[in-house]
Amino acid sequence: MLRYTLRRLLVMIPSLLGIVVVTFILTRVLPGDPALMITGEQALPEFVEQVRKEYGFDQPLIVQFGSYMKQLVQGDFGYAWHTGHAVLDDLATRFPATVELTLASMAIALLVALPIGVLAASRKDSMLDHTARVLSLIGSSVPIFWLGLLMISLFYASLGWLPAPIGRISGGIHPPTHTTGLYVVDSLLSWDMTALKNSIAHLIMPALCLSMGTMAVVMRMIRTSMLDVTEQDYMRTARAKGLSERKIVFKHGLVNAFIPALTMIGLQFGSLLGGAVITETIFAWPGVGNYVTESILAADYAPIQAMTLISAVLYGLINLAVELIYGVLDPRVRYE
Amino acid sequence: MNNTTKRGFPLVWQRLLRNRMALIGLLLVMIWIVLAIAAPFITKYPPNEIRLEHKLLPPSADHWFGTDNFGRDLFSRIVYGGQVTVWTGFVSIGIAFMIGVPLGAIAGYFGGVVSNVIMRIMDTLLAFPSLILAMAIAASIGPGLIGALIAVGIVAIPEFARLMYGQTIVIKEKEYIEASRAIGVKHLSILRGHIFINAFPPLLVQVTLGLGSAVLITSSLSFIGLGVKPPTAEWGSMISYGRDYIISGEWWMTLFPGLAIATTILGFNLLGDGLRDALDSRR
Repeated sequence: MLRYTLRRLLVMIPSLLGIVVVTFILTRVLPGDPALMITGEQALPEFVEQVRKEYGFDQPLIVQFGSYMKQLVQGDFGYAWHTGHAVLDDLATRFPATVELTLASMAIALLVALPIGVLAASRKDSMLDHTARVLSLIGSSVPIFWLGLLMISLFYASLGWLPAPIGRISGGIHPPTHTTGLYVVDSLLSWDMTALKNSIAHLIMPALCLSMGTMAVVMRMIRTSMLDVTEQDYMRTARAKGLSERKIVFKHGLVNAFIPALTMIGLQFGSLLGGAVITETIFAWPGVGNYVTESILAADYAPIQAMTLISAVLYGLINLAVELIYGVLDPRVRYE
Repeated sequence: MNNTTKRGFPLVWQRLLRNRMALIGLLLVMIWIVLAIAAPFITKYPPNEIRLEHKLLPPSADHWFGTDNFGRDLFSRIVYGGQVTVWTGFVSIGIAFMIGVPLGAIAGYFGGVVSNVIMRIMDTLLAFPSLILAMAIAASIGPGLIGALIAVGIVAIPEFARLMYGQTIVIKEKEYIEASRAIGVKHLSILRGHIFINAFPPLLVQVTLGLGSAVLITSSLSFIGLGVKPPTAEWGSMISYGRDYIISGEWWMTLFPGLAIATTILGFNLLGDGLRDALDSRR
């Protein structure tokens, strides 16, 4: 398995190169003058020219690509004008917030989707099944930026159940001691109950909002593969052996139904990353998604490129991880 | 699949109409298309007419969906916004179809190096989360409808290419293709006359589902400021206006455009699923 993992990582190199080419094309080849992007539309022509020279935008594309690659290999993602920091530093400060949000969303999505998907399949065409299908249809049709605003309107503005949708923790409360950067985990580690309660309260709305799409897809997928699994011989055998219904459904059914759903779950991380951009903007969540939107509004280019590149790499790694988990769940899978 | 194409369109149509969910989807999509086309005839106010004395009015008999912070009638803006949505959806998916399908067909039909090059490029595009790729493309073209259109189109290309590729490598092994080749039919005619025609049903499903995600991505781009420029009425940008008024209680500015987006996407999703079932010859 180690050899397989290494080989898969090696195979990723050409596709990484492809990803880098695409991000390069986005910066340099598409219409839009990168020098003008840096200086701003109002800059004096002389200044624009100077920036163009300084950054090598006047060089042939292939030379530019070479220096872009060199930069990337050195871990240099450029400089974010609107914050005044190196992009990599900005990303490092904001990354934990996005990780916390994404993991919480995935957890909520799975906690809701798995049991409902299983129950819907085991009671096919029942009221519960129909409700689950309608819910999953709605979940995959509702734009999250709209859902987020409706949640704010209901849970904050009307009912006042949750704190103002700004950031990860209320202004008057000290963030927990930094260990992982995930506030919920850190406040548990430092046993800071005030911070824990407050950061959970801040996390609920954005995480729920971001989880909807994934929840819908996973629920649907689990239901379908559960229905497929139910027809298998080993399920009949399990029944014939007189196992309890719960054991049949969960031990023999869900474990097998989960395998095809796993690929889907891996792919969902991609849409969670995209969704995080929108969700973080709405809830002023100080993560990388919000950073991307800020950069777009400031016409600051380097951060958008960096984020595009990093998300593609992350996406690839997550899907590799999913493939490896396959083998753990299904011993028949052999890595060769 | 062959079974369906033999018995043709009437059978598919009949199956589609028997599926309640698909029917709802078809109805939703038709409603929005008709509203968009009929916009000038069914609205009382021009969509961009600013009347500050009427700003932030709640829904009433006069303004069905209320007015926004500039006193513009939200019903007019939503109906006209439908034009933008329908137009961007069809154009961007049209772009994706026109580029992705030939690429997939060529890759699948000729194989070898060409296939490898084309499909690796498609894989690379698929390696990006779609919304993030669309944002990066739209940002580098610059904000505006054209940028959003191109971005959404490019993001959808690999899905069409991959689908067409998969269809082509299966269809090209059929005996009738071999027979056509043997009697000297040109490659282009085989691609057009046999392969495309036989791959059409799944492509149609992909177009329908693709339209749904095109609507979602376009409105998301507009919401974060990368889509249409003001004052053009567009659902995503209307919601971003409404965002500033959500806490002060002017919910209608957000609710109605969002319902428009959600029902359109739901319509395309239901219709796409229904089409897939109706075109499935195993049923």
